[in-house]
Amino acid sequence: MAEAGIIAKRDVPRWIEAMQASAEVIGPVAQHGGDIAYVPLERPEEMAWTFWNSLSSPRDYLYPQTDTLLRFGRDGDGYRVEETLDTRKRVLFAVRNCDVSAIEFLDRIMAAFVPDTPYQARRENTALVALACHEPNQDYCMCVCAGTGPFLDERHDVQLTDLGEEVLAEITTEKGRELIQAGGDLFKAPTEEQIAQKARLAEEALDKFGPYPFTHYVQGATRRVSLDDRPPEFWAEMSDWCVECGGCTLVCPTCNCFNMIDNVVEGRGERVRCWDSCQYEGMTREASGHNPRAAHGDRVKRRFFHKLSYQYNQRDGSIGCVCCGRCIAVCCGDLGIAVGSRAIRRGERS
Amino acid sequence: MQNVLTVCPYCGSGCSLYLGVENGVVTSSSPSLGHPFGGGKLCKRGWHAHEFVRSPNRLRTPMVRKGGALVEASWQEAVSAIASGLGRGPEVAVLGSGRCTNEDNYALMRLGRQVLGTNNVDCVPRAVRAADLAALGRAVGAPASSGLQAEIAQADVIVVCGSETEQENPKVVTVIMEALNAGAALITISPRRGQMARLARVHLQARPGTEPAVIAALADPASSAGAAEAAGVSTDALREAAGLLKEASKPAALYGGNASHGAASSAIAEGLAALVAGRGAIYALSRYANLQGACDMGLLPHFLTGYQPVADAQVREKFAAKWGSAPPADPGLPFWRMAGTVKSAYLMGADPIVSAPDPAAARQFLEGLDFLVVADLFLTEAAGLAQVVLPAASFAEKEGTFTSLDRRVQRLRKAVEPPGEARADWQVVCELAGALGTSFPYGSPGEILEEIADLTPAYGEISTQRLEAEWGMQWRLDATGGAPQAGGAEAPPVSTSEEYPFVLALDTTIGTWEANTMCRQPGTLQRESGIVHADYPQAPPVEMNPEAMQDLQARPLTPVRLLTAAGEMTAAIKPNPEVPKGVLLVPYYAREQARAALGEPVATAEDGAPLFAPCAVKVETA
Repeated sequence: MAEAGIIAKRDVPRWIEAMQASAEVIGPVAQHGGDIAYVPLERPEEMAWTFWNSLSSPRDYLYPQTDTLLRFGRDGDGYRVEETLDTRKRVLFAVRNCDVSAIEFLDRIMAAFVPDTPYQARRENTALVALACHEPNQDYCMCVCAGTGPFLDERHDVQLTDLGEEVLAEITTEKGRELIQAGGDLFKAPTEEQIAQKARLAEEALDKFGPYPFTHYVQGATRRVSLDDRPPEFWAEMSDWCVECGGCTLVCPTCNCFNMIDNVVEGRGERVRCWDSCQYEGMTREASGHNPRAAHGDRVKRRFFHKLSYQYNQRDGSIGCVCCGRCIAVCCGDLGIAVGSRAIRRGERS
Repeated sequence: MQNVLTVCPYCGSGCSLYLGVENGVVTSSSPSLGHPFGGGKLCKRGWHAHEFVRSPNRLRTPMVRKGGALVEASWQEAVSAIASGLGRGPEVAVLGSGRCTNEDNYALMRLGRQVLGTNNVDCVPRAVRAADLAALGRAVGAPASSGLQAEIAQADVIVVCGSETEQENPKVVTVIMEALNAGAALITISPRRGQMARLARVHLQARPGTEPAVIAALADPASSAGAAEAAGVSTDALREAAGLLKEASKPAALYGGNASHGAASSAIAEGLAALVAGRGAIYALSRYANLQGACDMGLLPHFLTGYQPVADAQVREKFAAKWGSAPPADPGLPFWRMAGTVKSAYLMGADPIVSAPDPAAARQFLEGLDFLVVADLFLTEAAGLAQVVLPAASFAEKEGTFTSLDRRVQRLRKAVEPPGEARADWQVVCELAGALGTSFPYGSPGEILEEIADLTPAYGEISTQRLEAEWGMQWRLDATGGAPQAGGAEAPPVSTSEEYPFVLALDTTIGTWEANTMCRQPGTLQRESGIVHADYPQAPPVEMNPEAMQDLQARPLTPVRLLTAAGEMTAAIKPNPEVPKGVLLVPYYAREQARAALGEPVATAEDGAPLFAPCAVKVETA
């Protein structure tokens, strides 16, 4: 197996503190309402080890909901423009492999055509430490459908496996090796037994998906969507189960549509990028008033196309969905990726 | 990045919300999975609640009118101007907000009653709701929904009247869909065949104004034939719906903006309440995060907190014991009757020109005041008429509580500092009270909540500690002092004729949220809110069936004259197959322009504001 180290779970806070000497370490912590969120680990011992996932993906540290890109203002007779790139060093710690995969997906998108410098500035300075899942959430998780977990051999810099009292840390990249080295002698070599335990946990996790059939529908829907095989009436009916909250696109870790706003007050201002959603009527409305996706059903169809079409598989090697299941949790209607995929495969809502 | 758990400031559903904060600025909004009502979900507005908070248009300093223009001033100057400008007794009014906290509203109510000596205490968005809320109060004991929104998911039959719910309270659709997935039957009553109608088992596409008769027929199928004919629905459909309701063991009845904004509102509320009485709950949907709380806090001319009447001497004594002096005994004037008597007013967190049922009368009233103070987040049209404008803190910038439409009192938490010199409304009111010679003893919103709990049986068990530990607390309907007793009025019938073959009605589906300043600040929501105004920049849209448009030999956007016995208006055609052939719908936000055609608002319940009624109309291409 890859080079690895073992650290006692009770020593992990000290490892985090060691990394905090040179980077912000962001990890999962229970918030006021009980929700897990990825936040700077001000008190590393508060880090959660047993949880499904956060509703807001840690990829938000690379691509925030609201991001000031430029500041500008009068400077005598002229103007001054200041680019605000965020080059803070960060470690995204204990991230699920579905989110790690989403970040890799975004890396490709943000490098294509015109490189997205705000994203890349953050990405270059960020390391990914994954925490593999032992147990999928029965309501939401489908990573096996997209090859994005629960355990992965690549895409992260380090992969952690929770072995109970101890944690196995597998090094995937040089960046990852540096993180382990920061922990110094908190790490020791793993035993054969510990390595075997990890392999067993990885196998057992795969058996814990289902019995719900929806884990199988995502792939089944991909073909139909790629061939544009369902009529407009189908999408119109689907759209009746959607209330256009946009939540699916706002929690989706691969979504990346945005809107730009200039906020100017008395000669000073900022250019802000903020998330947009293809589910909103205004996203494709043109200045003339024409809207190529005026029909709600067309917007719903577009979302499923973007998440499931083979086109992305051919271009990027993966579909646009990492099957994290967040869109199911946040759907105000009844059109999460699982319900939607099942309907696409069957040709009707059941 | 910090996440601060608070409550959404948009509609009355009361969803929980985490505000993401980075470097002292709100940058994101996200839901909480744990909330008992629709946990993990937010609507389009909730997902963008941070946008208006950080808007560059926020008011940052007080302003005082000098030489005809509003100029920046210090707080001291502003408070001093207010202290000398506001009248006393019957000549002054305080108007609170459906979007400020309970603590803000309570402090304002006390200022009006104790310090200014007036019962001219009201809340502007209540004006449009006065009639149906009064009917609700008579039916269930207090003017509030009688069940929890989350319980709608367990209903076996759901009736939705006058609500395109996905537009006004989207999370209520979440629980309706849960019920549908569990096998429940949905019955919709609306002139439009919209999304809710398409999900329904039975859709009663009733002409505007005929809803009370349809609801009566649901309870009493013997009257079906007559009701069906008047409404333009099939007798079979009406009987099928009545049958479903008869068999229901746990029905739920909901009504929304299209029911509550018009002259039939109290009859609709009364009819729906009777339909589910003893078996299920009635829900009054609301686009206001804290309209329920505003009414609970006594922003009503004849009630103190918890619907305790000002006319009751024992109630006045109880408040006097806490306050140090008693509120006046005679009920005051409601908002829509203040013109002529009231000469000065303090208007907090509301723009009557946008939210009052009669915007022209509201504008006239404000223009006619000798002295107007407006406290708000943005420079609204009302603020533009004021002598003093005060910059207020938003929901993200103060502690306090909101009460949802299902009576859940929930805690807000402060996420960021208010911009510039903006301040929480309750603090400003306390300072003003002090300047007027009465010291309010509150050091925090928590202390105000304690006083509210002491004086209000319905809120008796609510405290900051309990709210901290739980997802809010729902107050009990049976713990209140009672509801206004006036009877409901009959909705005037609409009869079409050969000359006037269509029914014209106002409709809240399009553009109502978009008229709210909290939806119009830089960001994604602003773009969404701008669509209807970009498409219809001058004449408002009139939605009509595409076949009706063809019969007129007209096209989309063609301007047409809508002529009634009262007068006429101009509108631009918006073809919509969801609208039946005989019906024309003009957006509620354009009611000022529609007035010429609709005629004057009609009187409703004795204690309700006059509201617009549908009428018969003919169409001519311009």
